[in-house]
Parts: sequence; C-alpha cells; structure tokens
Amino acid sequence: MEYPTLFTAGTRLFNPFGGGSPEGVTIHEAGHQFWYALVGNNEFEYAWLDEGLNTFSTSRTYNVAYGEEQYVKRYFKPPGTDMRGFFPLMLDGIRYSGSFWQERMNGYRLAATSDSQAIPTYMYFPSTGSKLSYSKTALWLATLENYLGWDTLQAILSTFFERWKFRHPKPEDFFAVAEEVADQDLDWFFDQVYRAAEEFDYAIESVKSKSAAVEGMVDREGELEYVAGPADDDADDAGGVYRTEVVVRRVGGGIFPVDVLMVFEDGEEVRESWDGRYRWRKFVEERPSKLSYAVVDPDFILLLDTNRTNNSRLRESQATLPAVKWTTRWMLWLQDFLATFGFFV
Amino acid sequence: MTILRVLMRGLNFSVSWPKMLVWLWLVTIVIALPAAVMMGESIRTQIGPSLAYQDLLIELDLGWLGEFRDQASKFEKSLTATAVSRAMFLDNVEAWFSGRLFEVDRALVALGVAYILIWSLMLAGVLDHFARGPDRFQLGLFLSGGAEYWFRFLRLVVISGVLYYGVYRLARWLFPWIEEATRDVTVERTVLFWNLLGALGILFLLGLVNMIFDYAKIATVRERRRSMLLASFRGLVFVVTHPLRTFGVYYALALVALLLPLIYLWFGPGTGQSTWTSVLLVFVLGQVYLVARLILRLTFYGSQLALYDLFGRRRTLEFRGTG
Ligand SMILES: [Zn+2]
Repeated sequence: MEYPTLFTAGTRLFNPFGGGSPEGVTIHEAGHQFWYALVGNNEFEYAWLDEGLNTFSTSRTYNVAYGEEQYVKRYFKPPGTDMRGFFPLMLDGIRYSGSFWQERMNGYRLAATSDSQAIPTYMYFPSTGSKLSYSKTALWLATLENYLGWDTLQAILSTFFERWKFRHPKPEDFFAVAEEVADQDLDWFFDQVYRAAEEFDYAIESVKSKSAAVEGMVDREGELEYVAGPADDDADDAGGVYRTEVVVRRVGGGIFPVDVLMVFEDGEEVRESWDGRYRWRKFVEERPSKLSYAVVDPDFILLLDTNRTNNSRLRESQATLPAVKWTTRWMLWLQDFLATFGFFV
Repeated sequence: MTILRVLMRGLNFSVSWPKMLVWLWLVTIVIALPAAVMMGESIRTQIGPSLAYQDLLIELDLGWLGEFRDQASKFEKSLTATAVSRAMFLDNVEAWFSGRLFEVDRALVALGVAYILIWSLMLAGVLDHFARGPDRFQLGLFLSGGAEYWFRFLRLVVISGVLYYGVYRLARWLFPWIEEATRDVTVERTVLFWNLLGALGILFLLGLVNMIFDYAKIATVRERRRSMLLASFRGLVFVVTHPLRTFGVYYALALVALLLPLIYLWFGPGTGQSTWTSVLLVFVLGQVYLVARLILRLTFYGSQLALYDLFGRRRTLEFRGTG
C-alpha cells in the first residue's frame, strides 16, 4: 500500500524466487512515489492515471530486472476462509507465449466494453475498477509503446512527470503531453481507448489459394473458345500460378492501423499495411505458390486486441495434435477427479 | 510385524487378478471418455486454423487459455493451467480436503456421483473376489458378486456421507475460527502452524470415517451382513478394539498414497510434447499413474481385509466357495 514518502508491501512464507512476489508489489508501491505521490492526480475520479501508469511501469521494470514472471499456484487454502493458500507451487512450461502483457488482457477482456475509462472511477460498474484502471491503461500504454517506440513513450512519461510533479494533473494534461512529445495527433487513439469503450479485435476471416487458370470463354485471335478450368484446385496447370485471397475483418469497434503478413508455401512473405478503418479488406496475390498462412498484426503491436487466436489463419488447420495433447492431459485430471469421488465409497 | 505382513498380503490381493485391474481401469476410461471427447472438440474449435497450435505444442499458452476460458461453459472452465500440468492431482486433493469437490460444475459433479454409483458396484465385486479368492478373474462372477452387495454398499455410502458432511461442516467452522483467532498474529509461521494442526484434525476425521466404513464393507462381505447400520457399528468396533493395527495399516498406506502423486509431480512430464509419439507417451504415463493409484486403493482394501481376517472375523459364518 502506498502513502506519501512511505509504502508497505506484504510477503509470504515459501514464496519462490521468480514467481513475482514480493518483488512485483514492492516495485508497484515504490512506483506510487512517482505516480500519485509526486504527480498527484485525483485518485477517486481518475484512478487509472496513477494506477494505470504505475501498472505499466511496474511490469516493465519487473521484466527488465527479473525477466518473465513464472507461473505460481497456491495450495492449502483454509476452507471457508478468504485466505490464500499457504504453499505456492511454481510450474514451468506454463506462460504467456505471445507477450507478458496478455496477463493484463485476461483481466481486462472481462470488462472491455463495460465502461468508458473517462467516467469517474467511482462510477465504474462494480468490480471492474481494477480491470479498467490498472489493466486497460497498461495495455494501451504498451500498445502506444509499440506504436510510437520506447524512446518516444519514455519521453512522454518523463515529460509528464517533470511537468506535473508536485502538481495535480488531469487526464487531458497527460494526453496533451503525449501529443506534444510524439509530435502527432493522438486523439483518434485516446478517443477510442479513453473516451469510449471500444473493443479491438482484428481477425483473418478467410484464406484461400486456387489455381489461377482461367475458366470460361476466351478470345483466341478473334475466335471465342471455351477453356475448361483446372481439374481441381490443386492442379498445377496455370503455369503454376495461384490466386490467393485473404479477407481481414475488423471484428471489434476499435480502429487501429495494422499490418497483414501473408506467408506462402515456398517461404515467400508479403506484408501489407491496412489503416484498419473499414469493416473488412480483401488482399489478393497471384504467386507461384499457395498460401501457408496469414496473420493480421504479426508483430503484436495492438496489445488491446481481445482475441489473439483469430489473428492468424492457416490454409490447413493444425489443431488436432495440440487438441489431443491437452485433452489427454485434461482427461488424466478428470480420471483423478473421479477417483477422488471414489474416496466416498 | 503384523502390519507389514498384512500390507504384503493386501498388495498380493490387489495384483493377483491383473485382468480385474484392466477391467477397473477400462471402467474409468469409459466414464471419462465422453467428457474428454467434448472437451477435445471445444479445444480443437478454439485453436481452429490459427497459428496458436505452434505455442501449444511447446507449452501451455496462458494467453490462449484466457481466450478459451473467456467464452467457455462452466464445464469447459475445468480446463485450468494446473489441471493439465503434472500437478493435476493437487487441485483434486485441495477440492477433496475442502469439500469443494461437490461444488464444481454440475455436469462434473453428476459424473462424479455416477462414478460413486459405479465404483460401489466395482468395489463390491473386488471385495467379493478378494473374499472368495478364485483362481482367475471371472467377469461374470465379479459382476454378480458386485451386484449382491451393491445396494448394501450404496446404503453405506449414504450413512458415511452423513458423517463426511459433518466433518466438512466442522472444517467450515474450524478454519474461519482459526482465521479469526490468529488475525492479529504477525508471524505467518504461527498462523500456518494452527492451520496445519486444524488440517491434521480434519484429515484424521476424514480418514477415521473412511477406515470405519472400509471395515464395514469388509464385514458386510465377509459375514454376508444385511443390516448396514450394524455393519457400520461392526466397523467402528473393530477400529476401536484394534486401534494400533488398524491405524498402523491405514497410515502406512496413506504414506505411500502421499508419495505416489509426489513422484508424479517431481518426475511427471512437462508441457513440451510436440509429436504424436510424445503425446501418446505422456498419456500412457498418466494411465500408469492411475493404475498405480488403483492398485494402491485396492491394497487398502486387501490389507484391511487381511487384518480383519486375522483379528475380526466371526467364525460362526461361513461363506460360499468359488462357484
Ligand atoms: Zn497501486
């Protein structure tokens, strides 16, 4: 917990090193000496301003200092109490593969369209306060970092700090500093993430590669002649040219410029930019190879994207092996679960 | 060294009919399979044609899991990070200890209750087999023996269920009381100590009820009892009159029961399987764990039966020979 010039942080017996505790909370509460103690915003109305900036700072600092946080689950929670388990278990092979910011996404997603961040914090829908103040802000700041670059974002934060330390900034003051330092209009961004409750979700809706061979009546030196299409889509009879169509869709209300990456079976890659404004866009390529897969936002710039899985699409699904893998593991849990019921026989 | 002899006899009981073990294992597979197929379909749909499969072949991607759980039914939400890890049994132990086993998704509890019904039948068959000691496993004999005692065992489930419920109610009162009593204690170790002490008390009671009703079942089969209230009483009397031996056998096996999952936790498979062969291998390893658990459970019954035969059996009642 934070107080002016003082903070407290709890720890537990058996906390494993690498599991994030008590380092995370220590960094967080120390961070409040900057965000809220020196830069003194109104926490009741704009909690996101100190908690959000501080959550962003905490995660970034933690990762620089300690690397990725490992997965920990606590066991032996006394029944009937609100206490947390006494014994932490740290497990490897369980992590956020895409980006550690996705931990924040898993919280934020549940309240993504619940309220606009701009309304006073105390008016947020019950139990969405931390999702909207902490997680959402961290996610849009990290998105902004990816979009503008770390140097610019760091300059925004330090300028905001220098200009507003020992004073009482309001949200608009932060946005003004951001636009000034980045030297560009960012209203389009803050309008969506702050003044509205837009959900961001881009998806590859469909991919297909077909032989580019013509089918129909063709003008051959003045004579119209019928040309049959390829026997099947795999037939290699158009001089080995395939027409690939990729449809990208903006599923969410939020708009953000995205790249679309198309990777072909011969290893060739094509990258296109899209302003992401219209509801969908079709990309067409004619190449000597079929498409392998397409990805929208391949660099994972838009950390606010609430569904990352639909950002990529293979022409041929590879889901069976991983599905069997995790299902058989879950089934072992289920068998053990049932055997546990057997105790009562 | 009565206890050691009894334990060896129990182990001998549980592995004497390998076909019985295979049959019991198959039953757990058959009960779990439909749910697993449903879960598998959900997982496959959620991965879809995406590139998420790549990460999921290397590790459990919590980002993907978050998306899965976001649109999951309560049943599908049983797919947790730990449930598919090598700590999978810990969630069940915790749920068992706290009594929350019956508070998970309704479909899963229904499956659990179905398992209790079926396992009662199986266990009756097992004990009947132990008591008769046929040369080889006979499914017909196994099932008819099971059917004979099935409803009696179910009545015992109801009687013991009331007692288990009482223990869980006690736990729900005890731990909040400890929490309240230690709220101003500033040393976590002290709080942990009192909670561990409370847990030992609850575990003792759960084990005691379990043991009494193990002997009630054994007495039912050995003496062909019909009154389950009297059988329960017989179980209680046997435990009370032979406390060192009954507790000795129970806790010696409980110790092994503790070791088995710990071995799986330490040496169990990680999350990196990316080929059909390794996925299959992990599945087989898991099933080996389950069969070991099954053997252990049967050893409990076998040992307790052997102990009962040595010290508790009424001579007046004879049982049938192998039919
Ligand atoms: Zn804070």
